Amino acid sequence: MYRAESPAVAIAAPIERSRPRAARVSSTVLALGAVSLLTDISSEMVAAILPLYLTTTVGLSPLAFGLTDGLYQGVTVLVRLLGGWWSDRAGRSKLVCLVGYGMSAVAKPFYLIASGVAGISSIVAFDRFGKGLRTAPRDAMIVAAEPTHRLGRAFGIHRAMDTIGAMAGPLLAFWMLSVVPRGYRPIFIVSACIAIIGVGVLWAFVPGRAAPVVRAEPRTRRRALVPPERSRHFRRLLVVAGALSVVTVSDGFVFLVLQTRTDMDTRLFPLLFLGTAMAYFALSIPTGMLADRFGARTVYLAGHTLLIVVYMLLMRASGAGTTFVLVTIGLLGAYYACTDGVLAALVGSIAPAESRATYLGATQTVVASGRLVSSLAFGALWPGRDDQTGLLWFAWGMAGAIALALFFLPSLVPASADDEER
Amino acid sequence: MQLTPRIRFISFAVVTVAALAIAATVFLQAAGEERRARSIEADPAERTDVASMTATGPYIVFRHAADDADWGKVAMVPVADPGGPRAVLPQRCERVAAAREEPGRLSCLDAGDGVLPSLQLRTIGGTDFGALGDVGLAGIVASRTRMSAAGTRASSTTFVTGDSYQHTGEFSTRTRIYDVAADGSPDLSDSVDLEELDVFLDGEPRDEEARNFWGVTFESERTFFVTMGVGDDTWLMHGDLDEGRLDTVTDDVECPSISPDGSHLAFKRRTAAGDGWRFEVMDLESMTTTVLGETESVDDQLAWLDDDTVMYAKARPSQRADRPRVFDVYAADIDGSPPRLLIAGAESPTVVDAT
Repeated sequence: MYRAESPAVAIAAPIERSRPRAARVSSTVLALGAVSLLTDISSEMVAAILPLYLTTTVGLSPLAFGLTDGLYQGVTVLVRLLGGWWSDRAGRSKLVCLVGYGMSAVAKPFYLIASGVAGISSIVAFDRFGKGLRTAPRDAMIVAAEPTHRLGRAFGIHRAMDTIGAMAGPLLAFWMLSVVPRGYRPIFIVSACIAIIGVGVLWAFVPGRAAPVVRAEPRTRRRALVPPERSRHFRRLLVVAGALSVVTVSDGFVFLVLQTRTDMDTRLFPLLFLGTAMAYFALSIPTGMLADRFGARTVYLAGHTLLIVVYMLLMRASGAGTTFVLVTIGLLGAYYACTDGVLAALVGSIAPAESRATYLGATQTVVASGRLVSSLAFGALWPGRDDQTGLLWFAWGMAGAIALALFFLPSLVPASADDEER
Repeated sequence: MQLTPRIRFISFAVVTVAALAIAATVFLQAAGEERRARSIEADPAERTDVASMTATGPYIVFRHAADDADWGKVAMVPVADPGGPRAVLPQRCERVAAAREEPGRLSCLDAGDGVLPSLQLRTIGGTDFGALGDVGLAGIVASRTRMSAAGTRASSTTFVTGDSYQHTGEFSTRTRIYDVAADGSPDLSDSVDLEELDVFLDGEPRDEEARNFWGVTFESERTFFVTMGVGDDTWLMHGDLDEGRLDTVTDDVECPSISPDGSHLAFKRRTAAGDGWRFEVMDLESMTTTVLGETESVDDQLAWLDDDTVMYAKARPSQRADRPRVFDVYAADIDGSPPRLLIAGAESPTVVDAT
């Protein structure tokens, strides 16, 4: 932030304002983006073939596979908060990230050796533990690397690079399978190698804490470190984020509804994910910059209104054509672009420096838990009545949650004024 | 040591190069194996006629085992060009064997088309390789067949219970040797079930209740070798049809096959772990054994390409589910050299070498 005390800076200021808007994004953000890109290639190429590998080569029963799948989704929920808390307490985000990325990297080859439900579950748990551990400190490092008014764009860039990896991973896996059918061993090994390169990028190109962060003495830790208004803001934000995530229908269900309603060829199913990811990728940076310009809260809530549109489209999806499907998944991708990175930017801007990762971890945990509830709820509603009713309820629920948000979160100005660390 | 950015970068570069090298190596190796498997799968589509086959010197008779419309039919390729075009007969057989010195005389185990098993031993021959005669067989799964060199005897082995030699003592086989009449038809009335013969273990007569016999190989028109199973033990037996007796030769080897000049006996021997077999060849004069170059466990009765080379069929590894089983015939020298692919898409090979 500009400290306008010295005349030299005051003179410099007008010159700065006349510079082109696009100031350079920090190399840390780009490096973290590269790490996420590589790691996503690694994890998504495994995720793409894991169901097939577990049910055919390992020979898991559907129930056993369901258990491992549940672990795959659920382990990170609990661990994110742990990762955030640990990295703040130790004051070493980079180290926690290295441990997290490292765990996932070394887990990959073990999928080949593990057999039976117990073995596979252990590997999945280990793999996803690493994932949960690193997400909050990584976002905290992004927040630390960029001024508050450019957080939206920074997260947009990071998420965009992340999404490239998420798209490239399955493509790489499918290409490798086309050359070597049922060649799962090369896929796991290549995945591990790529993940290790990602760890290498993190280690070599992302700066660790240059100086130890001001760590509160243990006795003051028990008292609120932050001014009461800020923690109250954050609690409200958590409630809002949680409420919104409970009424968010997961991708899997959106795609399933689309596929069953429009009688889509099941072989095209994976393309739905790809289309959403492409929209997410394309819109990440623009929405991030919009968040910088118009406020993260605005963009975050606007993204959720897009979801209401998606629900209404899904309710009218019977017999619809390709354009309809494309528009729907495009809007879904836009929703992600408006919410995932933007929420992180929002939290990052209100969190005090020494608790950044904890705040981020707490947010991620709340959102992930809300998503779990929403999946269970929608899954329970769908077979019972039909998806029309479920979608209607969720649409109303979303509208209610947005109204709640508007009420609970009066414009949350990024707390740059009392933020000394920048 | 201070980890300067330069050192970090160099370490990173080294790790990255190593990781990429490992990834590339593993993938390229797998791709190479796939390509090799695919190239074997590119079966010769060329066909030729039978007449050109039988006119040009020794030829190999086998069961066509490529995944195409001719799967299961009797086929032939010249010994001089086993990878070349093959002649395919209209008959389908589970196993097929030729009389080495009698062209136009094949024995064929046929499972029939019906749902219920109706096994038959059929002889095929003559200039047009038509059916010459057949006899019904007991049992449900066809296993082995051989003909004597002059074509006056044929043998059949079928499974009565079980369908695999994998677990000793858990299957039951029926083996018969038939006289083949001058017109080439097998004579059921002039045949013998090996369980009717007298068994001598090291010269002592043995009266076992339950004996299994499988894998006949004809040493002459009167004598042969065969495997005998009693309980968990297997024996190599030498049989004499005129004297009606079987004598033990050695133990623990199965499915013998005698070389054309009668000097060597090839068989499969159970591994010490009991989970498969290895091919071996025994010199009948010195009674010394050489392990053959095939490292995998293969359940097949070897056949002889010539006095120095054996043949056998291996299932192709890249087997697609619910497609017919594809096999390839490999040849191996009896000195223990590594085997080589002889005929793609083939099994049950025997040679006709009438000059």
